[in-house]
Formats: sequence, structure tokens, C-alpha cells
Amino acid sequence: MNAPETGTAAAPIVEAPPTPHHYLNHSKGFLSWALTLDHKRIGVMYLVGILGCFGLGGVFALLVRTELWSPGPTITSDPNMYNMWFTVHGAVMVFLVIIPGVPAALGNFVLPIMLGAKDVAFPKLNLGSFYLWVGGAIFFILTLLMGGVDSGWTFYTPYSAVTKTAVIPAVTGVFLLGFSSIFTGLNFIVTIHKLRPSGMTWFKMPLFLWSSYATAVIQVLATPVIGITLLLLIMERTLHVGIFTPAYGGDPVLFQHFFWFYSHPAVYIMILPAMGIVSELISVHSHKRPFGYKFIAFSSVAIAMFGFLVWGHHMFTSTQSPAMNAIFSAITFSVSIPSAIKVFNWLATMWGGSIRLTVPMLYGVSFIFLFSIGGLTGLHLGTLSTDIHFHDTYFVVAHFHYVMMGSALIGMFGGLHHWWPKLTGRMFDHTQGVIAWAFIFVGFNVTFFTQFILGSQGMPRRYYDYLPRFEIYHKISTIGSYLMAAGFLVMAYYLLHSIFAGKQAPSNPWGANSLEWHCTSPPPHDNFKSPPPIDDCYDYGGVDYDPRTGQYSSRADQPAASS
Amino acid sequence: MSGSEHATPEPPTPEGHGPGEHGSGEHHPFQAHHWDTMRQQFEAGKLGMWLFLATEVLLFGGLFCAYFIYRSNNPELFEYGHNALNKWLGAGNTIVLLVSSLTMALGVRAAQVGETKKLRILLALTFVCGCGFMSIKYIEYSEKIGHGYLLGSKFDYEKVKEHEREAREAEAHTGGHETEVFAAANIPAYVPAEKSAFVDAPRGPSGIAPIAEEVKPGHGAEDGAHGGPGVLPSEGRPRNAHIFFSIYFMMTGLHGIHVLIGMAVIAWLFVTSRDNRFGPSYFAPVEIGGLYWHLVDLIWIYLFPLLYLI
Amino acid sequence: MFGLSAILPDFSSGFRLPLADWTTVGMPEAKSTIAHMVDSHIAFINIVCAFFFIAICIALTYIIIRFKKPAGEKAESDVSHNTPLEVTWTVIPMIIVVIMFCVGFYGYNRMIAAPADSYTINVQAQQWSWAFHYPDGTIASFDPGRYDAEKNERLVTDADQGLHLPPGVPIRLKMTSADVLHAFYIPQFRVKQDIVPGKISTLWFEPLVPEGDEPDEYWLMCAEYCGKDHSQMFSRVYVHPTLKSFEDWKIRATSWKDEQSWEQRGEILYRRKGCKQCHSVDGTRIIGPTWLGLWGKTAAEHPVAIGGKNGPVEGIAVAGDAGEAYIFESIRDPMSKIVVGYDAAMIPQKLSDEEILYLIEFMKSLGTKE
Repeated sequence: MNAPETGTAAAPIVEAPPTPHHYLNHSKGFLSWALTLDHKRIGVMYLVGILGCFGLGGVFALLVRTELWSPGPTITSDPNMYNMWFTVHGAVMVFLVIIPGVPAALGNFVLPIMLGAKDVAFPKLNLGSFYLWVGGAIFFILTLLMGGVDSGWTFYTPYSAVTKTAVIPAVTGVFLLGFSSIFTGLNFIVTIHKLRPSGMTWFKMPLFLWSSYATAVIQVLATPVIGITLLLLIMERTLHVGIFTPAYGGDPVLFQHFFWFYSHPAVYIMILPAMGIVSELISVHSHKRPFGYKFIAFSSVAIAMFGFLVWGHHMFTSTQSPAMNAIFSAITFSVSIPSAIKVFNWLATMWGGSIRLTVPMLYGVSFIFLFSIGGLTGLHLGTLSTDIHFHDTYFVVAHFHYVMMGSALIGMFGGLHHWWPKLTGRMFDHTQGVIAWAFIFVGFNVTFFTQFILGSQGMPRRYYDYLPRFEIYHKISTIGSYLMAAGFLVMAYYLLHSIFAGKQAPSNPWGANSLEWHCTSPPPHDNFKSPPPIDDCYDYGGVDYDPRTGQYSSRADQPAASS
Repeated sequence: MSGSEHATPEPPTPEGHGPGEHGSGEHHPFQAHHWDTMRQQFEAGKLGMWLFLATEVLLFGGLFCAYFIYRSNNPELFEYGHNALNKWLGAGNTIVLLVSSLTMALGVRAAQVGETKKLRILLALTFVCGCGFMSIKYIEYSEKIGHGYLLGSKFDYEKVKEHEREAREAEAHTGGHETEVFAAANIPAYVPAEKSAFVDAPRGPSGIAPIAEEVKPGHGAEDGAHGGPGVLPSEGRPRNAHIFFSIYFMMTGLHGIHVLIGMAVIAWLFVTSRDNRFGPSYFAPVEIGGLYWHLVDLIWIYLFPLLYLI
Repeated sequence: MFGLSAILPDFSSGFRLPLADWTTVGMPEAKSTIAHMVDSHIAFINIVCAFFFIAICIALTYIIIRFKKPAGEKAESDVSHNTPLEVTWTVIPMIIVVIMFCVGFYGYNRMIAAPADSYTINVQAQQWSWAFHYPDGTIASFDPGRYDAEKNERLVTDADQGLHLPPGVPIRLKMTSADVLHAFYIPQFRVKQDIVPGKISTLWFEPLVPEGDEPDEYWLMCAEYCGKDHSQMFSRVYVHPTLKSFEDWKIRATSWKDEQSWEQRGEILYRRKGCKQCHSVDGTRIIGPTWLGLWGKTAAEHPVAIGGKNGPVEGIAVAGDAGEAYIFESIRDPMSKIVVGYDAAMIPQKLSDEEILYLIEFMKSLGTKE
């Protein structure tokens, strides 16, 4: 190997004179990243991009929350500006951050290593997906430069077909991101089918792979529909084709059907990988095998399947026929069962374990807490008689933030902390991690639990101005959002700090046993020198703790250990 | 090599990383380093293509869905529209595409047995069929566009009216029977769709209706896809005739783009097959390209009857 | 529609579950005949959710405290699964959600079918206003109110406008939209319905009769995002205590001709016919040009584009007979002349000749701008 001897491009190393060869110092220079086919580097590039977009979306969220500090104008007197803020916040967070978040960033990095594979099935396609994501991000930036878009992230017609803002660049961006997502999903399905080593049967796979697989199926089967829907929207805006706008003979409700046929499964694209991460986190940090592996695995598949059949529950008040509403309501309830199974199984996994409250575990436990709230409040919205009142109010806003942020993103940040030592080869500071977590957890609940009350009281969503009686709740919610922002700033600080000055990470800092912890941290370019032995990835009996060094080591690795 | 291969762009190879030297070193030149065997690599490529074809079907699925919804709500639109299409040109295109599928399938066979010359001839034939398809499409499109049959608000009612009168006269002249659709004698001025709900709403803002009689049906509904039968017999043309042509142009247009992509793939296969690289041990790109071409053909097989015949 | 509901018990008083009031704490007042039923459903779901949520929290806390161990200790157990247990916690939630679906379904069934003897009102929504057309020809405009920062209240601007409802009858709304999606939402009634352009949306509810002599007042809101002033699409809603009070209101609402002066009539029309949504009378720019100082502008001060926003520009004096003719045309056919610098956003107005005359007099009375 012709790797440089003294350090990496990203992190100069002070101690440990003989720098082990790994994927970060494997080759140098801009092109070695920009044209890389290494799934790990692509994952890292995704991660950087996605976290950057998360910051952007977060800024818009804070603008929205600050504007809502008081009724009437607060920081802008132009409602169009506010409408642009919440649209950009929603669109960036959904399409640029959460949907690619776990699969494309963490999944890309971890999935092939978990399988013991050298790469994903189609490395070039993988790089192509990344550039499609970059293209989507560029179109979003173009949208902002053109004055933003104000149609709401749902792009409901006819408003999106007549508003004078930059809908077309935004929609083009989403279209590209859709294909990025499709290709990632396609790659993962083929990787899991064809690169799974012969010793690893389906039921020996880590649960993260099950949920990634289920996610990939949704990505491949649902995303093309949003693609064609958005093309039709562009045609509607430019040529008035008359499919979605009533002025030309079209049906706006058809757009909602098309849109939610993708966007409801998209919710599971967001939450399923996070559930997979949490299944790993809970098991690893409790040092106990997952309770009811098969139930957890099959519930992922069940969620993916039912997820395709429930889109109509977004449309109970949309003039959809009552019979359709009843059918969609009934199927919607069926999705809650696999979700409930997962929560109970995670609790049972922890029971009798040896729990370490590491930072990833804190996120894992928060996930159970927040997802319980997000899931249970879904019952209010799935029930026909009660949804009528809650629909399009802050209750819905709170519900989907509990699911999409409190669960999907918290799961992603749990995974980020869990695999951070593997990604960067550095440990982050535990205390600072706990402080940031506390701010985020408390801030999140203050922000969004308040919104359940707001919604119950009848505060409609997407309001620039509101009735003064809602003011106190909005103020509390805004304060919560600042707490959360503070937490994320602390997180950004200690994570960046760890890259430059963090302790060298051991290959197995948490005492896990799945394959990614059997290679060095960070992993070498080809992940494994020789095909790793496939054993039970949830058997923690062979992982020993050395109290002198404070590190775990796996007995299976002893003869071949390089560090 | 293995250490620096990622630092520079590699020559385009059909799959994965290009020549890899990890592991045994006895790899086929086109086997990427992360595959154990050529067979595994081939199967993965094929599975990937099938998944991609599934997404393609779903991409078209949205348009088919729109087609069926509008057809069931406004059958008269399609009754009117399909008569305006030239089914002979459509049938010609069907034959051209079916032939191209045959040549493609034979080409895959030729690649499998390593008959490069035959493969190249068949690929060229397939490409020519693709060109033929696009040429016929061009003739069809320019005829439709010339007569004003365009999609959405570009639908030119004046030109269409003119054309339909000429068609009627020609038919009357030759003594042919008049079709149901062109039966109307006198076509009154048609209000273009652009001047409907948004502009010509039957009431102003804030309820400035002259009197609040019984609830008026939604003004949009009169032009809407769901406002009853929607046929205005006196005009001889259903309302919102442009929707049929929107669907027609979008479906055939998207399909046409796919034909062009397929032709590009075939051209690329033709160029790369120069060096005898395809043979019994390596024919994945031809087979996978062929799958794509067959899908393009298959979609047309559905489009033709749906748009031209029924 | 639902054959099944025929064989099930008749919940003519609503499918209200017998649950205590405190369980719905936090909900706005329940002021329609179905609101208590909906609240009881919410309460039922709240109780189920609270039970599971508290159970999960207790379990989580207990497990963390009991099984938190120092680094390196092995887990106490290595149980991989327990099928009977897992089946139990699959089946129990299943039973609960089936019950929940049924509750919601029967409640919804009662909410969708309007009683035959309903009083029908036509609601017309558009960006960003409401209009209410009553069966006898009465037309009421909306009253969005106005936020008063000093009092920190949203104040009513015109009590004679807004949605006025008679007591003790089911109200059926037939709703249409002129442009984009809107939604009719009154939280106290627990009803909501999207208004889709190109369709007629229906909704019914029966407000509770007010207890005192004064009408009960609520805010109607638009609940489906509709653009810039989505958050200003309020309207005051009044439920009258007696039919007489309702009829008295109707007379007040239609009696704008009681005003003797033409300017005053014009001013009332300006408020009621929605002109004020786009045209200010104090010089501020909203969507269309302000009316302040409009009358009396010379041709040089008033350039307009002929036949559309991008048409040839020409100066038009707004004075004398020609000025009146210009305003008349601009109300009837707004696209014919667009004031330079503004969008072609106005819809042709269906005003009587007489009404336009009064509006012109009102414009004249506004005087010239400094």
C-alpha cells in the first residue's frame, strides 16, 4: 500500500507513531474524494452534505419559530416571507436530510461492512446517487436564490400551479433527489441479496440490515410515483395540461393521491432505518441479544408493506368519499401494530441486560420515549371522528415532528454517535455528549409537546398570524426550539473537536459483535483483509472488557488483531 | 494499483470498479474487485436491472393511473381523442418496435455465443428500428401539432376547428359516412379552457353574486373532469379535449425519451463490442441493455391500444 | 352507504362514550351537537395512550435503574425470544385498535350525513376571503377581524358581517372555492372540510343554542394552506340565541341603502364586497393600487398597460366622465387596463351599476394624496 505514513488528510495524529492504513488516509487529494467509489467515503460525503443541510433547515425552523413568538408581525411583516421559510424548512428537512439521512449516509458506510462485503453492489451507481443528491441540493439553493418557494413542502395543487414563486426549481430538485433515493435503494437490495456471505443467512443479518432492506424496497417502489407526479406538476405549471388544476379540467385531489402514495411510504423510508439503528443501539449498549429478533425483523417488513396502503389517511377532509376514508382508517390502524411490537421488544431487550448509558444509548432510549408519543398520537389522527378536528392543526405538526424528528432524526443522531468512532477513528467527549443530548431532548419536548395542546385548541398550521389566546403556547414552543438549537451547537462543537483532538478510537468501543466492529477504526480501504468469519452478531459472550485499558476486545479477533 | 485506483478516474467498464487485483488475481478482466465470481456479478447486475425496470414501470404507472382515472370519468374525451390519432402510423410503430425486440433478443443470443459480427449487425438493426420508430413519431407529432392538437393550454381550438371542418368536408365529398364525433354540423365558438374558472368565475370576490339563488354548482365543475358527462353535443367536441392530448403527448413523449435512452445504450453496446469483449463468459451489458429495450417495447405495446384503438 | 350500520345500535344522540369531562381537558369548548361525542372519543384515545405511555415510561425507567451496570459486566440473561409473550403484545394492541376504529367509524358516520331538515348556506371561499349566501338571498361578507397589539386581542371590525347562524337547526354548508384549496374549520364545532375548486364540498353541524340573550361568537378559520394571507382568512361566526335575533341581523346586513349619502353607501360596499382585501384607502400598497388620491390623477400620473400586464402603456386621467368610465370598466373587466407596476390579479366583479356608482362616489370622497 502506498498510503502516506504520517497522517491523514482529515486528522493529523499526534500519538501512535505507526499510522495504520485506513480508508481516510488511503489516498489524498480532492479528486480521490470526488471520484471515489469507496462506499465509506461516499457515506462520509453524504454525511457532511446532509448535516450541512440539517443546519440550513434548522435555521429556517428557528426563523419560523421566532416569527411565531408573538401574534402579528414579529421579525418580518411579509407573510410571503414566512410562507417561504416554512416551505423551505419542510422541503429541505424532508427531501435533503431525513430521507437520505440514514440510508445514504450511515447506511452507505455501515451496510457493506455489516455484511462483510468490500463494497456495495454498484459502486459507480452509488457515486452517481451522491451526485444526484448534490444536484438536488443545488436546485434547492437555486430556489432560494430565485426568492424561495411558498407552496408548502407538499406542493398541493392548484396553489403550487399558480403561485409566482420558484416552484419549478424546487420540484426539479426533489425529482433528482428521488432518483438519488431510488438508486441507493436499488443498490442496497442487490447488495443484501448478492453480496451477503454464504454463512450469513437472512436471520443472521443484523436488524439494521432488515430495516435497510425494507426501506430500500419502499424507496424503489414508491419514489418513481413522486417523480412522475412532480413532472406532471411542472407540465401543469408550464403547459397547463389539465391533470391537476381545475381551471383546465383537472382534479387537485388526484394530486394529493399521487403525492401521498409516495409521501406516506416516505415516512417509513425515514423511520424504518432509524428503527433499525435503535434495534442495534439497544442490543449493543445493553450487551444482550435483541429480544424477539424475528418479530422485529418481520415488523419492519410489515410496516413497509402496510405503508403502501394507508396514504388516504392524509385526506380524510379532502372530499375523498366516506367509504374510502373508512377503509384507509382501518388499514392505518394495522400499521400501529408492528410499531407497537418493536417498542415492546426493545424494552424486553433491555430487560436483564447490562445497560451502559453511553451517548448513543441515551439517543436510543430517547427514541423509545419520543416514538411512543409520536406513535400513540397517530391514533388520534387515524381515528376518523377525531381526525376531523385535528387535521391540519398543530396537533399534526407535533405528531409528525415526534415521528420525523423525535424518532427518525434522533435515531440518526444515535447512529451517528454509535458509529462515529468507526467513521472517524476518534472518540467524542462523553460529558459534552450528555449535555448536548439533554438540551436536545428537553428542548424537543418543550417545543413539540406544547404543539399538541395548540393543535387540540384549534390552531391551524402554516399560520403567519394567530389568535392571541395561542400566544403563551407559541412562546413556550419557541423557547424550546432555542434550547434544541443550543444542544445541536454543542454537538457540532464536540464532534468537530473530536476529529482534530479526540482520543484514538479502539476498534470496538461499545463492546459490540457485529462485523463492522471486527475491523479497525476507521476501517481499512477494503474493509476486511480476508473474508471475516460469520458468527452470531448478537452473541456478546465472546466480547471481553479489559478494565485496565477500558476497552473491549473480541476473542474472535485476537489472532488477527492488528491494533 | 489497488492502492491508487480510486485517485484517478477509471476507464469505463460495465460494472463496478474495473480491473481489480484483490484476492486471487485470476479474475476476468471485467470482474470488479468486490465480487467473488463473474456469475455473482452478472446476477447482481441483472437483479439491479429488474429492480430498475420496476421503478420505470411505476414511473409510467402514474401516467397510466391518470389515464384510467380520466378515462373512467370522461370516456367521451377518449372516444373523441382516439379518432383524431392516426392508428396506421401507430400500428407501423408497433411493428417496428416488435421487430427491434426480435433483433435485440437475437443479438443477446449472439453475444452469449460470442459471434461478435452477428451481434454488431443485430445491434445496428435494432438501432435502425429505433430510428424508424422516432421518425414515424416525428411525422405523427408534426401532423398533430400542425392541426393544433397540442397538450394543455397550447391546444389550439381555432386550428382544430378548421381541421375538423376540412375533414368533414373531405369525408362528405368522398361520400364516406360521418363518424359520430364529427357529426355536428355547426360548431359554435368555443371558449378556450384558459378562460374558464380562474378568469371567468361566475362571481366576484366576497360573494358579489347578483342573487343568492339555490347553491350554484362549482363553476370549475362545469369545466371540470368530474362535473357530469361534460359533453356538449352542439360543439361536436367534448369539453377539455386538451386533456386527452395532454395525456397522449405526455405518455408517448416520456416513452419517446425512453426510446432515445435505449438507442443510446444500443449505440454504446455497438461501439464497445468492437474489441470482441462479449462472449460466453461476459455478456452482461448486452443482456441488461436488452432487458431495458424490451421494457421500452412492452410499454408501447400497452400505449398503442390504450391511446389509438380504444 | 354502510349497510353494516343498519344492524347496529342506533346512537341517535351521538356515539358518545361515558367518560368524565376532565379527560378532554385542553380541548376548546364543545359547542355543537357532535362536539361532545368527538371529545369523548378523544378522551378514550387519550386514556389508552396515557396508559401505554405511562407503562412504557415506568418500564423504561425501572429497566434502566435496575439493569444499569458498570462497564464490562455481562448481561444477566440471554433470552432470545418468548413467543407467547410476543403474541400477547401483538394481539392486545390489535384488539384495542379494532375497538378504536369502530368508535371512530360510528362517530364519523354520524358526522357525515346531514339531517334532511337542514338549513343550507352557500359558502364561497377564495384567496383570502369568505362569503356567505343565505337561501333567501341575503349575502354576508366575512369579518376577519383585526389584531390589536395594545389589547392583545383580535377585534371584530363589522359585527353585521361574518357567518350568522340561526339557533336550533342543523346547518348544511355547500362550499365552493374560486381559486385554490381552502378548508372550513370551526374548532368549537369540531368540524373541518376542505373546499376544493371545481367541486362542491358539503359539511353539516348543529351549533348549541346560546344560553344567554347574546349570540355565541367563534372564529372560523381556513385550515388548508392557500397562500399569502392564509392566516388572515378568519371570519367571525355568530350563533343567534333566537330566530328573531337572526332575522333582525338579516335586515341589518342588507340595509346598506339606509345610509343616505352615496359616499357612505360606497364605503359600506367597499368593506362588504371585498374591495378592501386588495385596495387600501390610506395609501398603503396591498395587491392592487390604493384608492387614496386615485380620483383626480392626471394622465401623466396614471400610466396603464392596455390589454394585459405587458400591453402598450398609455396614460389615463382619472377625472370627469372619462374617469368614471375608466373605473366602471376596470371593475367589470379588470384585464382591459392594468396600472403599471401591478399584477393582473383582479377578478371581474359582479356589482350592479348602482353599486359601482356608489363606489365611484366613495373614491371621489377620499380626496387626493399629498
